[in-house]
Amino acid sequence: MKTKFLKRALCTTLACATVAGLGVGLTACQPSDSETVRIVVGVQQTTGNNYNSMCNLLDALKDELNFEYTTTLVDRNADAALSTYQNQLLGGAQGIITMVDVDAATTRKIIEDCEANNAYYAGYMTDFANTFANTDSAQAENVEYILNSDAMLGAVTDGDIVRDGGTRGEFLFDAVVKTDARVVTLCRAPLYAYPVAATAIDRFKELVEEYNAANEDDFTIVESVGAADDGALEVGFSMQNVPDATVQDWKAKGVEAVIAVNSLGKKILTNVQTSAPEIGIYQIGWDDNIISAFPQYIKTLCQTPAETIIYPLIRVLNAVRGNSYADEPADVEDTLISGQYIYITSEEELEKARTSCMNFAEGNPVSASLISVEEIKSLLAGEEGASFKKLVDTISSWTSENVLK
Amino acid sequence: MSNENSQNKKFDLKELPGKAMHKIKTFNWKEWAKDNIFTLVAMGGFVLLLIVFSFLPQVMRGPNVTFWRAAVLQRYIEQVTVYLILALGACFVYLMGSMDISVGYQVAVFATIFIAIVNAIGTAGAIPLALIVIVVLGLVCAVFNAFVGAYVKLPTVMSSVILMQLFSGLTTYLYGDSGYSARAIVVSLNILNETWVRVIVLVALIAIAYYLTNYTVVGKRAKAIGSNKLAAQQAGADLLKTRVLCYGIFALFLCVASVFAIARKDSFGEADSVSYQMDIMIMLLMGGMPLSGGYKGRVLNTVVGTLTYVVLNLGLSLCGVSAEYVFFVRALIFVIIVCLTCRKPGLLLPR
Amino acid sequence: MDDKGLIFKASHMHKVFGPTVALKDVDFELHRGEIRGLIGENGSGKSTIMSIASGMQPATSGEMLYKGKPWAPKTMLEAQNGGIAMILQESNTIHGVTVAENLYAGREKEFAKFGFINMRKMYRAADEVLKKFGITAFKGSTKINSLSFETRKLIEIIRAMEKDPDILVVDETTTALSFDGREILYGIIKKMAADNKAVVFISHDLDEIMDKCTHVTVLRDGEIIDTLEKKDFEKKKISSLMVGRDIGDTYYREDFVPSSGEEVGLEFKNVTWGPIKDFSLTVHKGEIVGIGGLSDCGMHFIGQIGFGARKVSSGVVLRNGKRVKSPSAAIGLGIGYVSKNRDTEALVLEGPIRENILLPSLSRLSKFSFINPKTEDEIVADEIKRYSIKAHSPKTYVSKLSGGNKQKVSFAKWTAARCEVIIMDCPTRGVDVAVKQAMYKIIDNMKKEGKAILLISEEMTELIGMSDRLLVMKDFKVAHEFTRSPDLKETDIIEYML
Repeated sequence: MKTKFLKRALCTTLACATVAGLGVGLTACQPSDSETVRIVVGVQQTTGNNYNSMCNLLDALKDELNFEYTTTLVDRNADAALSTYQNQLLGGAQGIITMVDVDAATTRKIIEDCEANNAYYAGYMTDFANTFANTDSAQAENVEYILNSDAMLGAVTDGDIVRDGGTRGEFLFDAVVKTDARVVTLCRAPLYAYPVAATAIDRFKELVEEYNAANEDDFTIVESVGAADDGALEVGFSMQNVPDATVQDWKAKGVEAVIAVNSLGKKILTNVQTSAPEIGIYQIGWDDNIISAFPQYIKTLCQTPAETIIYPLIRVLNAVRGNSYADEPADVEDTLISGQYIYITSEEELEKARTSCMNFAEGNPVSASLISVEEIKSLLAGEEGASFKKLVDTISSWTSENVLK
Repeated sequence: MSNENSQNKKFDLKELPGKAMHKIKTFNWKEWAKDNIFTLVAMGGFVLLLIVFSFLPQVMRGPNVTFWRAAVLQRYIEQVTVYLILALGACFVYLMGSMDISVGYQVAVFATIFIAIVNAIGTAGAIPLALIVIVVLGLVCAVFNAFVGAYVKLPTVMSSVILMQLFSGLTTYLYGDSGYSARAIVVSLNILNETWVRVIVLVALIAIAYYLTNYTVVGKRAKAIGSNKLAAQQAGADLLKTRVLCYGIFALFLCVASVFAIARKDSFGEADSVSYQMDIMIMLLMGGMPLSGGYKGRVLNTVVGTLTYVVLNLGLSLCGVSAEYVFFVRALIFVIIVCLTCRKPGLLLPR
Repeated sequence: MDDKGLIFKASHMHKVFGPTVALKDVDFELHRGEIRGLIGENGSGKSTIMSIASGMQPATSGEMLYKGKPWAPKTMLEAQNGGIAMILQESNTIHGVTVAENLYAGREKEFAKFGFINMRKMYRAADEVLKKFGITAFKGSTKINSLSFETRKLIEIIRAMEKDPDILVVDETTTALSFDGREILYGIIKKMAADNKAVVFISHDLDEIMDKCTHVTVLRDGEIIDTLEKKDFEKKKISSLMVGRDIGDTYYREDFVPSSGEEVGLEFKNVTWGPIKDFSLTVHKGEIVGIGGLSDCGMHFIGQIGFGARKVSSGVVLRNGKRVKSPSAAIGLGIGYVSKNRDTEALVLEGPIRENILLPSLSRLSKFSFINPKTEDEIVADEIKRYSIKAHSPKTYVSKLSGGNKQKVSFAKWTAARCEVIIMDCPTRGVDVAVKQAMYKIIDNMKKEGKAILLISEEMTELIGMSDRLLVMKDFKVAHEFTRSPDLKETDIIEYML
């Protein structure tokens, strides 16, 4: 009898919770007038400083720029992503901003669906340029289709990878050369996913050679056990942590610094912290979980400002409203632009970033935004002085130098 | 009862007291409802969702966003197709009280091999060959599943764990050094994307599954095995043979689903099907299919479960429920179903 | 209370299972010192009364008084702690642990110190209890899985007695016990009555009830028909009260002449399996061969071997010159097997009557793997009529049937499959007298139809009453063979069994 009662009570509670949950979910999106542009942002996760900053910024903008948005979870599962976007378009979405780039064939299907629904597609922190360049011949037709579709509005990458992978190598070299560490080892993510890592490693090695030629205290680049042809240890996606054995091996070889050209800090941190705390980790990337290890173990941080969302946002708003710039690029390829990385190597820099850029600031408030609502508004097509060049320049101006001034 | 002639009358069982079944009724509504309470709850849930989504999207998102329009139904069928084909096949495994968690990885490998063969030859003529290859591969897996279950005295879910590991490894190998996360197919399978083709195929497959489960030896034995393995064996059901056949049917459905999955996007990626096994498990549970299998499971459960699962995703999107809440709502509905359908504990002493 | 001996009273008790009325306004009184037999056909409600009293299920309406106070236990545990213990027909031991752990399930705390259970202490306590009941064959530390079904039943009885109940309910337990086990149970019952406690003894076995009980209450269709005292016990009278009419004298076969056909139905040729060595037996068409013995004499294995359910290490089982290798091969050759474990092996409880009956016939009925549902319906209708199975529809789940009707279904499977050889292992276990009579009639008819029947049973009267030839087994060997004769007595057989 008691179990029956408990079960009923549990069911009732859950039913109430469902209704409440639906209610809460639904209040987030009240019906609005036809002028309001409906945007869907496909995200990979709904936590973290980047997500929070993005939402805070969009919330601050939606009334001023007259749009509404919902976020929807999308992962690497292209089949599910297609369904998700299809459903959103049926729900009246006019613009899709995706943070996940799926393969060209699936992207084409999404874009075809956008075309049929008079909606538009843009990428945020995705690297379509790389995805499209890195496909097998069977995808060529699909890439061709995407690059000629009016529904494709371009994308902004996270960081400077399209224009200049070498920047990363330079940044990491500059950070390590300031210290006494001279025995280093290299790590990177798989090259097919991050071809930029190759350029970064080449640049780093170049700088090391130059330095060694000019200075007494030579750098030594130590190869890890099982390193790839380029001498760097490939840390795969499936690897949770770089194994302790590897860290022990580094320790035995006298490694003082690990140069990880991708955002591998988290995967390296755990075992370095426990087995070889004297080794410094120089990496590209940012994660809420590694901030506490900065600057003791993690020596370098970097992240694209969440404010970069304004690029796809403005492109979608312009397109839905039928506005365009005088210098609107004719080629879709020219709308695949690069974002900027904010590089941080010291506590002072982090402090500065906290006041000038949303993702670094505590609580990610709009008050710390790189750009004001008014300035964003002035970038919309049709506003005085607005142009595509100005939009791209704004994004490009968010360099470490400017942000950490 | 008269005592006349009782002396000489031959003993007749019909004279036994009590209410015997004099007229053979083939269907008793009340009893059916009682035996199929979970199926009914599932069907009720589905209808309820349809009713809710008939008006809620309009209320939430304006008059243009309606559920009952051709575009929505077309997408609905599109999204149901692969899931339903898989679930119908999985139904045979679940009826036996077994489980399979390798579906997604099997689909990934079959689809990739299918694309590779078709692309290598480059013409539509390659499709039958590719199909034969994946069917053969599927049947090999079926035999493996059945053998592990029957001889290695392991729960059948273990064989699918082994297959899952094997196939996830194979997927990584197939995609690993290529650098592509997905492969496109050069021969168009667009005919399969026509809504009428999908509907015909689905109706046909439902009919086949229904026929196989209700009117054939293998279907009846699968259910008997699910309900009581020992009794089924003592009534002549060969465990291994039935398992091979059930997993074989599953494999055939799986191959058909793989082709439809490719057709949908003209490509297939390594991550595209990883959630299938869990989705299917949830769909079957949502449809009122008992995880222990047996006579209480039926094709109807599979169909209702799949339709509910997909309509839930679609409807919530139409209502504009944002990312955080979709999972929340889905999880809660799932827990409610499990709560409603889980067997009530008996009042007997621990057994 | 004016009646000092009254220990339990139920008034206006009503119990409804859906459309089925199990108890109709029943008033029932139980006094101290009584051994009360409850007898009635399957579905008469005899088990229902006591299952309500012992907390297995609640009554739909009605009141109960126990020791003068209102009584409404919610669980079996609560009832047991209050002093009413029930031993069920079905197996109720915990697998995979020891005898001691079964005896003290739920009472582990008594042996615990700092949260750790002192197993040695528990084993010692268990050993002592077992000794008290005169059991030496196994110990507290014995794993329950190594014991037979019959022995496990005994452990359940001891577990119930350990709580020192005031009312002990024994539901159809004796048929599940071995010969020794029964003696132990009878001893317990006598002692309970002598200690001024009460026993309710639910059984189908009229002889047993008449022998052991002081009072007997007869139920029919959910109503109490009559309660008799020992002095009024008369077999014919009780039977007619039970079935509501005179069942006549015919019970077993009427003829006493052994008979059989010429042709061989089933042949065991020098079969060796496990402890059974070099066993040979020929069952002819139209012959009933009985095998009797103690429950662990190996006779049950013979049945399983004959059906191909156990793979022989040497020798062969032949039917029409073909080897019986597996149950499916056996069915193909027209051999049926009624397992003694009705609920776990013979029937798919969670399945419809229809599917149960058809299960062995599937291969026979299928044409290109299709089975015509019309043919199926006809067969099922025939079988339901033949055995007069009581249920709402053929789609009713077997789990909802009474014990006798379940057994009818397990018989119907093999007649539906047109089996020519039927191996029956304890076919009338847990079946009431009228159904038993019917079963014997069916078996006799089968013989007349020329079927070869191997009847394995622990009931001597049944073997004597039905067999053309009767083998008595002891220690996995045939100890003696009798031929049918009106002079054959139970005592003659028991001599060879022990």
